[in-house]
Amino acid sequence: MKKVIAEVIGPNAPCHRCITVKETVQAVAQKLEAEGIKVEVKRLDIMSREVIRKYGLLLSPALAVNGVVKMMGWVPDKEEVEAILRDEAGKQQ
Amino acid sequence: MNQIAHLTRTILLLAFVIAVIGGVVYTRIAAYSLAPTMKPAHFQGLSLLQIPVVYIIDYLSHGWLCLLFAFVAAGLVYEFMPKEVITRYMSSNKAMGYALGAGIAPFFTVCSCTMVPLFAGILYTGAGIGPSLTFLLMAPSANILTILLTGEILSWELAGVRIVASIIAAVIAGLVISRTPWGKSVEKENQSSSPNPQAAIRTVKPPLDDRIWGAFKFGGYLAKQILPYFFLGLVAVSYVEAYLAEEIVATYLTGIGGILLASVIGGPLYTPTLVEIVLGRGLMDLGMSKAAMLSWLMGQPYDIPNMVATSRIVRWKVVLNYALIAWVFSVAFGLTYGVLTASL
Repeated sequence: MKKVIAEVIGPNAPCHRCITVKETVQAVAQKLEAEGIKVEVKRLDIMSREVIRKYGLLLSPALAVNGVVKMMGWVPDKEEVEAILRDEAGKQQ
Repeated sequence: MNQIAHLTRTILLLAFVIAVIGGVVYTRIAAYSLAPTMKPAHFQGLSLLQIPVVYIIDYLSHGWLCLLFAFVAAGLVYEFMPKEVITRYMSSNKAMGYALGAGIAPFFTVCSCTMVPLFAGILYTGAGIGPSLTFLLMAPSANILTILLTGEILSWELAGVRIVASIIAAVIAGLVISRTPWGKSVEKENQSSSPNPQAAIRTVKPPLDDRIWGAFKFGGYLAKQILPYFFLGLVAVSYVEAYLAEEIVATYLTGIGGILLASVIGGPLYTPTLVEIVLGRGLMDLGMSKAAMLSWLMGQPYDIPNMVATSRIVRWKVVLNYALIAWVFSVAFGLTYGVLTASL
């Protein structure tokens, strides 16, 4: 089983766009789970010091996969999220 | 096949962008007004319910292009601004921080939910309290949407003055606060010793047509957030224009007293974005002076939700301080502008 950690980074309380991103990622995660890719979806606060120490300055909403920020300041659709997650899972072979 | 589909979409989307820009350019050439044209006298004889309806129809019959352009432009600028620039160079050195905060930052922040997190981010990555505050003050008073609509609805002269005045006020507020004891203590708490974390960013760029479409979607999202308030504002403005006597505006919103009053009520009114611009138009039609208008527009940085959000990141003293500085500047620029253009 391949495992991918997807972190959706946005402000607390979440704004509309960050909620959309998280829902998209969760929907894609469900789909990929059936194919043997386990996606762990987390939500991080963009204003917490730990997140900024780790990733630096980000535009909200941002999506990090396995510790690398893959997109920021933009709401991707399902196909884009799926491509990013598959790509990352493919590296684990 | 897939490539042809992408290409067709790109062409169609670009054609739409060009059509919108062309439309706006054409109105410039034809000297066609995109702002509300109804004057207070036109409201006579209309019933209480008719007033907002007639006003909104009048506004939309020529204002729709201006709104469409503003939201399309805001979406495109936000999408195609090289975002890495700000995240990479903002904390590189102080002068760069101030320059970016004042110069580029406004283009990123058409939406308040990106503004306060960015402010926190800039501060926590060690850019210092000064540039962070410059960014925070600059963003609402001179972002792309506000400037476009100030220009179209009020006047381009005021929009220009507003940008310049905001830059000066934001940079000086940043410089002053970074020298106060409490500003310094905030800065010390947030000094960054960690290595440059930018190595962890490898953003994926979608194809051009998806980016343009994304820009439209973002523009649409902004419109959805802002337009309801904007229309409520229009309703309020229609009543203001219909019922507020010109003598009251002429007495209270002109001269030095007018600047003081406008600078105080402008800030809290900012809450629903862009309403202050429409309302300002109504008041100017009734005789509010241009100088008071500038103070009114510059009052934004100390609006209340903004201050509450910021006070969770830095202490209240800093917030009150920058609000005070912003207020002083809004009055000072109102006065200077009034004296220079003889429009007190």
